[in-house]
Amino acid sequence: MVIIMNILEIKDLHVNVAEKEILKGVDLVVKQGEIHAIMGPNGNGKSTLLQTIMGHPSYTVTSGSITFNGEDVLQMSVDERSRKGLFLAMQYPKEIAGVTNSDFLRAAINSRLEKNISLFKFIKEMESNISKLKMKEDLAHRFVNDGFSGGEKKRNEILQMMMLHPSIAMLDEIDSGLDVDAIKLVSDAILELKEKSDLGLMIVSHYERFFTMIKPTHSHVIVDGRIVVEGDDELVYKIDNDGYDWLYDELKIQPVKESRPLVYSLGTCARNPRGKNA
Amino acid sequence: MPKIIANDDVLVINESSTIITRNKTINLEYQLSDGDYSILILNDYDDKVTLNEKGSISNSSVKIAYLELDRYDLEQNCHIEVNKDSSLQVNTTYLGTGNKKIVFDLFNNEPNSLIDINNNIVCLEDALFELECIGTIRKGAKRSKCHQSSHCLTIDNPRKASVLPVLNIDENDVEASHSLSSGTIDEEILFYMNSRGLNKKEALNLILRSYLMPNDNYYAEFDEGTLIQEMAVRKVDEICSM
Ligand SMILES: Nc1ncnc2c1ncn2[C@@H]1O[C@H](COP(=O)(O)OP(=O)(O)OP(=O)(O)O)[C@@H](O)[C@H]1O
Ligand SMILES: [Mg+2]
Repeated sequence: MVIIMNILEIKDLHVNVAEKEILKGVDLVVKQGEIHAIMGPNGNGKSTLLQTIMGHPSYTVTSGSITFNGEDVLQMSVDERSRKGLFLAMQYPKEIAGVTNSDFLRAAINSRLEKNISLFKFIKEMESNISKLKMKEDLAHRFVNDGFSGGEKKRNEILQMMMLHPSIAMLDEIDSGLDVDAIKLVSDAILELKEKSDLGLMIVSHYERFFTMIKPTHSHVIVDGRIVVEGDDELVYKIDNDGYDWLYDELKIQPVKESRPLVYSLGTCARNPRGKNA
Repeated sequence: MPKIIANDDVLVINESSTIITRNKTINLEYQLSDGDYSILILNDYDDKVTLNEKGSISNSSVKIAYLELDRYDLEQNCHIEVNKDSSLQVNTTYLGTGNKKIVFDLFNNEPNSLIDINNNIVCLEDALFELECIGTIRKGAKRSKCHQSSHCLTIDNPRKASVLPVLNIDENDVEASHSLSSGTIDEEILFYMNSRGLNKKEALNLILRSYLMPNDNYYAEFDEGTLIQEMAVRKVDEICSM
């Protein structure tokens, strides 16, 4: 018997965004069945790592490698990466007006099949997943994320994941914007999928609540474009209790401060209470 | 609803119809009164077509849909006068490839005349597309309305994609507006679709379908409703396989 082990390997990854180096040498290995928690302060490179693995055109790899089951991911187009089994649930999912969820998902499923999925099978699967996630029944006929609430958009990402059956899924702050009940639904759905298909996961989140349910097997903290500390789920709880300051002290490092725009337009000032202090 | 294959130069209609153009030049004439009418004009001629249209509408409610998905050249001049207590709803769908020049000249002639025109356009790389949409509210046409909206999606930098809405208003007690949105496919949307496994052509296919069949219901009342859908899907598949 040949056992195929899904394995994503990232070696010494350096990434530029708009001519600025954001990732400064990341090493990470994710295997099927593992759950990796990725934490770190705002603006320090978590989403950059995930978007780069998926192949977003704004992120330029300047050195290092990403391979999936030994194949060079950096040589693959974005859609090829998806068809090979990588999935990214985005921090800010896009709206596609005019294209229904059902048409979108069916085309996405068919893009990875030799023979198109039967309409019957598709509808059955879609309905069952919609009800697992307690989403509105008319979802299939609504346009992709168009007019969705923040929480609906996040659930829709998980719905797509459930329909596409990836081997390695990356979830970028999938829990933000979800209420307590929805977090439970979503984490149950993720765990069920993991049980069924031995999915490997990379999960970015700022909140312990989600990780308590998901129970990561590994954890990593990204500060200023590097993984500065790794551990198991204990590390998640420590950070939730103590924050990041102890890390900065111990390792003598500084996080990247989120850059705020220096000039606010009057319009923005009027609407943004934080604008006043900026 | 009769289906008229327009083989003649001059075509006079006086009831709801589907008109399928099969001639180089067609002069379409109508005076519609006292009723509800639906007219569908489908261009299916494999060469350049010139369509001249002269219509007037009185005491009626009229819907006209234009569907042009071919790559052949088109010259269209449409002049419609809307008289007392009448409404005109126009829906157009154009695939901009080749050389297309279209002028709508729509008149609110008398009180209580309502005009609403929606244009859906997709322009491809080889398009030389011009649409001018002129709404004129004549003096004395009180309580009239003239609304125009146009969406133009451009793909791969067309040679020309010009949509020009114009409003001439000669009366105070009226409502008029126009909106125009145009743009190309958002890079982020394309990335999102790619990230689900769709390549550029597959993504484009979904987006074009939504543009070229903006409202299935609009055509549902015509016998050709399903035919139109199939036709649009076929055209889109054709474009996306190029
Ligand atoms: N498309 C982009 N264009 C310009 N700058 C970008 C882009 N994407 C990321 N950056 C910059 O790269 C840095 C890292 O951003 P990233 O989104 O990876 O942070 P993050 O760790 O995910 O933060 P958060 O917790 O707030 O989501 C930030 O300074 C950000 O402004
Ligand atoms: Mg982020």
